[in-house]
Amino acid sequence: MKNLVFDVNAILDLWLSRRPEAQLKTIASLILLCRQGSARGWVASSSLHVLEYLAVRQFKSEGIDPAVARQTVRQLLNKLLEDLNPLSCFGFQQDQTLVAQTDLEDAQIVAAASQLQGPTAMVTNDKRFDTRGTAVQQLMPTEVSEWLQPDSPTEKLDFIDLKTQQDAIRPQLESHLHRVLHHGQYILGPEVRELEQRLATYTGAQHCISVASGTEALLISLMALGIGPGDEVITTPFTFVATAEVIVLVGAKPVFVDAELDTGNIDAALIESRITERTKAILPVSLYGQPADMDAINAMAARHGDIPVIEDAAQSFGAMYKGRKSGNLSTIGCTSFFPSKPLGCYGDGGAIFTSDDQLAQACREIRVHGQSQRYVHTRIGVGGRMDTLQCAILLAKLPRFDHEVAQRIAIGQRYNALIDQVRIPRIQQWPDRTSVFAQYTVLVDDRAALQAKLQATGIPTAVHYPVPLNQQPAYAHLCCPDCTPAAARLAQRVISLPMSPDITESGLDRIVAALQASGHPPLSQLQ
Amino acid sequence: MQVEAIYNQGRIELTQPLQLRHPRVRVIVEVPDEEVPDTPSMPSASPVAATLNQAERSGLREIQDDILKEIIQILGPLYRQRIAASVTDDKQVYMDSLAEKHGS
Repeated sequence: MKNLVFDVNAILDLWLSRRPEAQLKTIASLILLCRQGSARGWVASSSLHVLEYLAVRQFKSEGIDPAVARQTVRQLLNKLLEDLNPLSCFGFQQDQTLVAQTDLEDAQIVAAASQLQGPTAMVTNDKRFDTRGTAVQQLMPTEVSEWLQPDSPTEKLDFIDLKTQQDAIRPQLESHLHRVLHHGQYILGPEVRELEQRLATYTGAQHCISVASGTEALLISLMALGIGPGDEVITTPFTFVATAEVIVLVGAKPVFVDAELDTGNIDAALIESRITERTKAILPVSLYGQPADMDAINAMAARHGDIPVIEDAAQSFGAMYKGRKSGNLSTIGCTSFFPSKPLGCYGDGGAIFTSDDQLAQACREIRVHGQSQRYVHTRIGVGGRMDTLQCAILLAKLPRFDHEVAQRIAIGQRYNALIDQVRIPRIQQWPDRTSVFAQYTVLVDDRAALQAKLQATGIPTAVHYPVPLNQQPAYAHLCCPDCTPAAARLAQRVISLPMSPDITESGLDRIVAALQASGHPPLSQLQ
Repeated sequence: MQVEAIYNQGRIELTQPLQLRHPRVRVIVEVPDEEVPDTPSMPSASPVAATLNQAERSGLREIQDDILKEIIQILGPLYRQRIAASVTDDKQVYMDSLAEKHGS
């Protein structure tokens, strides 16, 4: 989304009706675009007091009582900040503003505007406003409409657009990060507790334990369950390596069960035959953002002596399964806050969800070196805490998360309709659950050729995942390479397309048109 | 009692400081019906086109006037058409204001 930074003169013209009606309407329509969410509007923090000075001065010059003038201008500023975000200019930017060839006020505004991630224009009636040397455009109000038209179709798309989200929540991010810098509790600070409480409420689980990564969430969960050498954990080979890696790390053996061809998730119908007396956990992965068949897996686990079930919800946080939230569908749910995940921080992070008090206590202790109280280590643990700063970032992102989940679902459905029209097989979604489309994945025969063609038109792709874990060198001895044929078939054919809650309809149309233009033949036998 | 607040990106922010007995209090917020979307929608292909489409449905003048009407409502008797001011004029007024504030 494009950013519009409004200069003082444009706002004053509107407030004080200093231009012909048509020009005032142009400025008003630009602010309206920001209100509607079609562009993102900003006013520099350093402009706010200038607006106040100038407007109050104008009213005072007309004989208005100064108190009335100030009160009126504060109301105007409040109304303005409903539509435009305040844009910060930080202390560390002042050196740069002092060497600018323009006046300090303008230099501060440009420095602040330069921080925004998306294309940014300064809306001003001052043709001398100097944005040279920056990516910020300088536009008269009448020039903005044309600039807001969609970008050139050859411009490179982001595989995952995190920039739009960052601009959308910039004031909240700044506020949360500065709060942590101010209180200085960088480890297990108040934001950690607040995040855990809010995420537990969100999922419906009794406990949320934030940890250093999604991998750490899985590892700590296995440790809390006491899984170790001689034990077996049933999981899928069609996943990111962390899922099986942690099983091996605790000394247990991963037992690979094949995937469903239509969803890529573990095939629940194949699990029961692999359960033995050594099976100490079942670890399904809710792949691509869609929960696995958790009811079937839970029922099977219950029939075999309440085997704990750990949902690897690294990609599915926010998804629903039969009215319940992913992460709260089994004994333990683990998620990841890796930046590209549906709820991602700006580094590594993860969380464990459970409603079992003892498991929660064990996870909390293992997270801090097995410590039950300061310097009392009652079990073997790890250094697995999530930073306060990363928790603060997620707290800034949470208010937008429901909107993003709704957008992901809407975009996924739109993708489905377009992809079905061009008859390319895709990952299917089941009607009793939602997918948050952490990835949007289709299936093709000649993947490398398609990737090259799409790349040439500015459309990035990724493969999740090219090799099943039982074919990886470090894991091949744990399972025969041909005993999970569906996983092998999927791994050869899956290709993920750009996906994020802020991808535009035109971007989506462009991707599907490029797919169609690639002349890629539909895969006939897969579905 | 009713208090004014602004919904901003999912957070409710009070426009005036409020002292209550407890640090955490459940409140009910009245949201204008027109702010509630019917169904999730795709981000628009063209932001300007989106506005113009809406404009065609309800009249461009009416839509654009929303912002102006709100400003006029706040201004009340202070609203009037004024002569254009240049950027130089504004800077002079700004300097005069600073001089008045800081007494030079």
